[in-house]
Amino acid sequence: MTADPPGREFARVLAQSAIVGLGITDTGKVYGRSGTSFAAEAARLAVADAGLRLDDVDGLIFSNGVAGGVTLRLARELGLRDLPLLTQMSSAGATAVVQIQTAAMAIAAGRATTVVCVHADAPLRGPTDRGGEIYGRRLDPRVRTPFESMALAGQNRGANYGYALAAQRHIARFGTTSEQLGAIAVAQRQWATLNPRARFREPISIEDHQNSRWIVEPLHLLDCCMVSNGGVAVVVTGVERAKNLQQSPVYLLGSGQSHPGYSMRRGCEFGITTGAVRSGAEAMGMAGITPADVDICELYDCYTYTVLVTLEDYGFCAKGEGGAFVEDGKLGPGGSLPTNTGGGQLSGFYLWGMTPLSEAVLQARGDAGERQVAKHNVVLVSGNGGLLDYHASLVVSPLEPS
Amino acid sequence: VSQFSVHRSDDTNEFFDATGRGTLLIRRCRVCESYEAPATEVCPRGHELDWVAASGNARLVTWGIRHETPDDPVLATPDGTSCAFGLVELQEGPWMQVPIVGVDPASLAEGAEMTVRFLRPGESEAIPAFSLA
Repeated sequence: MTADPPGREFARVLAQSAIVGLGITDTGKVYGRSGTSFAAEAARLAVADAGLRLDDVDGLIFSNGVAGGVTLRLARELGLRDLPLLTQMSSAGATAVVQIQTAAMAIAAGRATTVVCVHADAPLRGPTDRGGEIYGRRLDPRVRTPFESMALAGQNRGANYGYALAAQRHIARFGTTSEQLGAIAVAQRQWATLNPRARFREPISIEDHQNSRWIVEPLHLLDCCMVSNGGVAVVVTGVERAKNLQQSPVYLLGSGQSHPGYSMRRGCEFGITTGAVRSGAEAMGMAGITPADVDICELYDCYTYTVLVTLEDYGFCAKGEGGAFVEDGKLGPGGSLPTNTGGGQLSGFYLWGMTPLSEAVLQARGDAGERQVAKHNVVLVSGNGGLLDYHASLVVSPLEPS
Repeated sequence: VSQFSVHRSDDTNEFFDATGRGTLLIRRCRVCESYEAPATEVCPRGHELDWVAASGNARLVTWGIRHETPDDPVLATPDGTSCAFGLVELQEGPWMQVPIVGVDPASLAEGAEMTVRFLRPGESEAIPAFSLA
């Protein structure tokens, strides 16, 4: 038995790598390009940002969004030869953090030296495509099983419906209000006004949130993320190489995963607590920090509710007090807990876990322009997927772990 | 034909014979004796499941409202403007995601006692829905 605290060994693995490059393509309603095209461009941008060449890359971990289409041929598209590490990864919205963990493990184990982690998606084919439908459940009636048809009658038909159930349970249990969820949307929109990459940059009010149409009650339109085309890539390499590159390194202080496996039976905590409880405690424990030490949060925000429940589960406030915690605007510019500082997936762009991760890299490096947060030594990133089924957390910093 | 029409298959004959008689069948593990939702194929430990009659009583876990005229009128709220759905916890333990019918959504509450009833969307087999008890 080791006397090490839990996670110490993995903290040592993470400490051997850093994020050294970031590439973000045009995002949003960018039509006529494939996921592979976005993935390849993001990878090239990230490698150039790092001051590296594609010849320096010996690992590629790619991830698809809802539309799929990015395949193993991406390596050939990028001219990468004789790779010792090439794989597709999928943990839904948690994938980006899991990609970073996997890259760091490969580097620590000597299986690769420089790994590109990329996510791309191109579900929008034209102006008439709607995000809610893309993420809805579209089972062909001819191939549905009887129980699948029965589930559709119960509106078991995609993310909007599942998250409505989760949010409503929180609302009923704790008295969380729609206006409190709205405070999250308003704060993130304030950040988006400062982000040239953000899709929605007009300020909104709580009243706008309340007046936006129902998607599925209790979720208004302004509680829901958008759907985007685009790609994001990051480059992970060993710390010694990282110190001699173009960008200042972003170090990995701690990281966890927890996938709750909800039983969906008596006693199940669906909607109340998520994998963020264990995943966050693991990541922050490795980093030797508590929520009080976090300067910036970049939290997966498929819905406003997801931000609220993640803040509770990470311990920024007590369970059930998330509504009161966010309603004073502390998540917005000038607030005490800057959160989703690029506008997140509600207002910025929607590329799953790469949205919070990419903003964390920019903030940690001090490269976030007009929206740069002054104190940016500890940035906490979350990824969430499925119907709160998958969760991963990452603490990054411009300061090398001691 | 409603998009919600449900057509039986060989392995669901027993279930839909029962819904047609006004009985909700659920699954029960032959070994663990645990109850499972109807769509479950094996118990979490991999054992075979039998069909058993559920009490039809449940409590409301959570719910949502789709503010659109329902695709099928049998799913509509009493005022006809929207449809309600929810997760109910069967007295036997498993949760089911089901239509909630015959209830003003404003009267829904966590833990509310619910009882099963049966609908036929389109030219469909009867399917379970829940109302306030």
